[in-house]
Amino acid sequence: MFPLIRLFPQNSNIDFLGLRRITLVLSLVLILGSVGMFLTRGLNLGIDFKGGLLFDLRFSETIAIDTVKEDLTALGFGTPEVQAFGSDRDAKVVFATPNAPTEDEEIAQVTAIKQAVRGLYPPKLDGEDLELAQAAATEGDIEFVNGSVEYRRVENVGSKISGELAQKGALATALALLAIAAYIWFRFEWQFAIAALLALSHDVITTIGLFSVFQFTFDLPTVAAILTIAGYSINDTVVVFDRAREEMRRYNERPVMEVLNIALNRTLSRTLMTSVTTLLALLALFAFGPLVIRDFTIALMWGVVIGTYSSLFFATPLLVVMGLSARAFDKKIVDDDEDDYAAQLAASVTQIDDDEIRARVRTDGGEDRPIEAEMIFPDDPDNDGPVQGGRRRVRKTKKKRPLGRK
Amino acid sequence: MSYTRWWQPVLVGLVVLAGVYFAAPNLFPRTTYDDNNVAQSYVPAPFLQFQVNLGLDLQGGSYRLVRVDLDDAKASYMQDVQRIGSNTLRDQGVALRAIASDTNVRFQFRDETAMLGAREILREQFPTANYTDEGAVLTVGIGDEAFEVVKQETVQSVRDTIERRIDAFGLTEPSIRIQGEDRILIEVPGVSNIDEYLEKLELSIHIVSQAGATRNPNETLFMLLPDSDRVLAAGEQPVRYLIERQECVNGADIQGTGVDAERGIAVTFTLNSRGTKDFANCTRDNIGERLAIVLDGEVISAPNVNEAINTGAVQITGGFEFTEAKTLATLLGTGSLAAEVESIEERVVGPGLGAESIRSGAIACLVAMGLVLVFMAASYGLLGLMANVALVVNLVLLLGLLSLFGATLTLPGIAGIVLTVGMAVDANVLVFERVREEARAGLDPGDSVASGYGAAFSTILDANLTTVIAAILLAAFGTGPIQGFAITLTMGILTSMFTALLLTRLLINLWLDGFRPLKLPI
Repeated sequence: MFPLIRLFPQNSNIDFLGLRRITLVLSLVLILGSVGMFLTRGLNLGIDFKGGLLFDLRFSETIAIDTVKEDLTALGFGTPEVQAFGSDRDAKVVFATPNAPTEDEEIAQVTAIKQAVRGLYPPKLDGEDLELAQAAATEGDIEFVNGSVEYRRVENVGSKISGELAQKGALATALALLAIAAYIWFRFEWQFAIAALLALSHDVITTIGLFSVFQFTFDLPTVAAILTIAGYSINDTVVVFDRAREEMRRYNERPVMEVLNIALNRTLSRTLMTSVTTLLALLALFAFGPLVIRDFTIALMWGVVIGTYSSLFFATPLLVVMGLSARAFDKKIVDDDEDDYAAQLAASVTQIDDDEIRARVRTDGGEDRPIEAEMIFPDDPDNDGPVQGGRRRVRKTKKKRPLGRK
Repeated sequence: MSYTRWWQPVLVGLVVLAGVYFAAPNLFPRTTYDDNNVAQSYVPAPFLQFQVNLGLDLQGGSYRLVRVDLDDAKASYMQDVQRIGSNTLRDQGVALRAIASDTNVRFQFRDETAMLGAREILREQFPTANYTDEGAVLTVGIGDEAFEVVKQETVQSVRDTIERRIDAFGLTEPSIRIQGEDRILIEVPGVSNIDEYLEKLELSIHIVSQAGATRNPNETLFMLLPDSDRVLAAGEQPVRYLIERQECVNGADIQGTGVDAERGIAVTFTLNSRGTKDFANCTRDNIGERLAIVLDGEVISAPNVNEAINTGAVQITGGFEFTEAKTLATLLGTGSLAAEVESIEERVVGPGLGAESIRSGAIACLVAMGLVLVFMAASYGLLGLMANVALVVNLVLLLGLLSLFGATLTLPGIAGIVLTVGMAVDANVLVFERVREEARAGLDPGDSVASGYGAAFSTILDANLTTVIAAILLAAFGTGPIQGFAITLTMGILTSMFTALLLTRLLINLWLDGFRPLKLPI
């Protein structure tokens, strides 16, 4: 085959936990900054949550946004937000919900705005609308004249519904976070559940912060994006935690930071691979996908980045902060096939003095088994490494044989 | 020793074939309808007609959430009490005066004895209403129990009428569902404006009282000609009519409708036998007076009565345009809504935007696939290619599953599929990284693969279940398009677990059996 690309380190040995003071502070700053932005600058709420009337119009020729705005303002329903949307023939128009004392009046006003806009820019009918209109015109023997403005999207959300939607969105997000945390608690120890919940909140809050900073439209799809981010981020965190727990059981005598570092390094390649494939897919969606869901895509891309960051630099350090200790885990008899590499890596991480190992080996196992030395944990005198290693040595020698013959 | 059991390829093969079978119909053009509105399909007979439903945001159409005005329903109930109650009591020789408001009817009797007798008669007619009496006055209100019944009947009736109206125009596959206690969700594909189907269209014909002078001050109404250029010439002021509350005839008695374009454009309708009789009596007694034809509280036409009309044929002329008259005639034929409805949420997507979204969504999906395929092959070589087979099969299975369950594909749903493409390889990445570790630890290829899958399984399960939790909550709380996203995401997770855990493993094992490699190319 062709040579494989190794984008990510096979044998990384990054001291993630050593950076924990910096990264925890960074996360705290991100969170506080997001909350600050949210409180001072607020969100650019879409009509889903604010109520209002939206039109996506496509004109038959190039238009000037200012002219459209003037024409619409002249209708007498206040000044709408008008912005270019896609090509120079497209305009996105948003009328705020009319200030009316009762819901009935609000609805009547919205209907009036709709009629006035349709009067100003006669709609270009298409599809079934066009068939109906043409059929009626033929029957009445009159000429059918189609309008010239394509109404690509019309949305109207009443003020009562928008409140309900906002409530539902917030409830769904809160419930999702709690349900995920409950699942983690069920499957892992409580420290993991709390760390996961905090990491998720971190991702959600910073996403909201991002929307506040750049004033992207925050609407229903954004809530969907946030919940998806939560799902993605927890996916990442679970992989790391799963590995952390596994390593804790294997090395339950070692300092927790060391074990967590091992777990992070061993899952690093996978973490980055998955982030890259997901980002590649989202990049395609951003570049080629429909304009309507562009903000949604941006939210998801951000989520992948922040979700990956939080698994590595926020969720895992939190375990240390909460005083998780490897000793809390029963030493499980782990599959010894894996133990070999694990031991090598552990040895390289801690960089034990070779002489010290030899000294121990001599007292423990005798001189005829020097090959076992690498597998003994220096700070664990009761280690049963030599026994575990026995089977492996047989296999290793088996493989070396063909080489030896040459 | 063989790594595969005979039934494994058979099982996996069957699932993949089923996926292809259910996904394949989507390659053919969508179902269309012929002139008789019978479904025509391009899908060849050997395939079942399973195609993914496109959401309104992809095929274009109107989504509308309306609230039925229950106060209006209450008011019509009170009018019924007044009308039916008064008639029954008068038939029994009880003299009374009745005044209806939106919330109650006050019956005034000669004395308390008459009131008590009348109360029993009314109780038989309206057993669930609320009765309070004070001397000779009896006030009838709507009780909780009666309101509950009225509410359900009204909402159901409004729903049914809207359906009849939409059907009357021959529109395809509308979906009209009652939501909660007073809301109706209407989805009509392919149509951008459904405002006209939602008007109450309560029609009644009254006698216009002589200016100011009324026969009975308690039973008159003011109504205005609408302020619209259809009826009024430019610069003309709206005309105010004083009309009798008592109607000659109302829309419930309309039998057939049509448009007459002989002399000007007129909406015509014929009355049923009861309506014909009432209208004949009314016109005979009021020759020389004017009639007011009232539609939803506005006088749309006020013709003079020249002679008694015994045929039950009524014409409304009012400067209609033909299309408008046609629509009004069709709608009047389906009856009026039992109560007013108010639009509280509206989402319309034009067919142009929908088609564009499908196209750009499909392109994004293919590009995403291409990028991920190349990246996986470059990173994992032969195993990457196997994961790529799984990725493609995953997409087919996802499409098959969506078709089989008749799930609705929405725009965010397409985003969900693209996201699935990116995340589906995650399970394989987890396994492959684990296999790499095992292989480097010196295990032979077969053992590394077995051990890699074994070690990664619980992680994959945990990681995917948590995503499913988030997706289920999305489905539970979201509306249309968002639910579509949650559904594709959940189904994508299911199919990707199948392809990553079973399909790629099978491919790798078959390869191990066939080539007996000494070293994994990883």
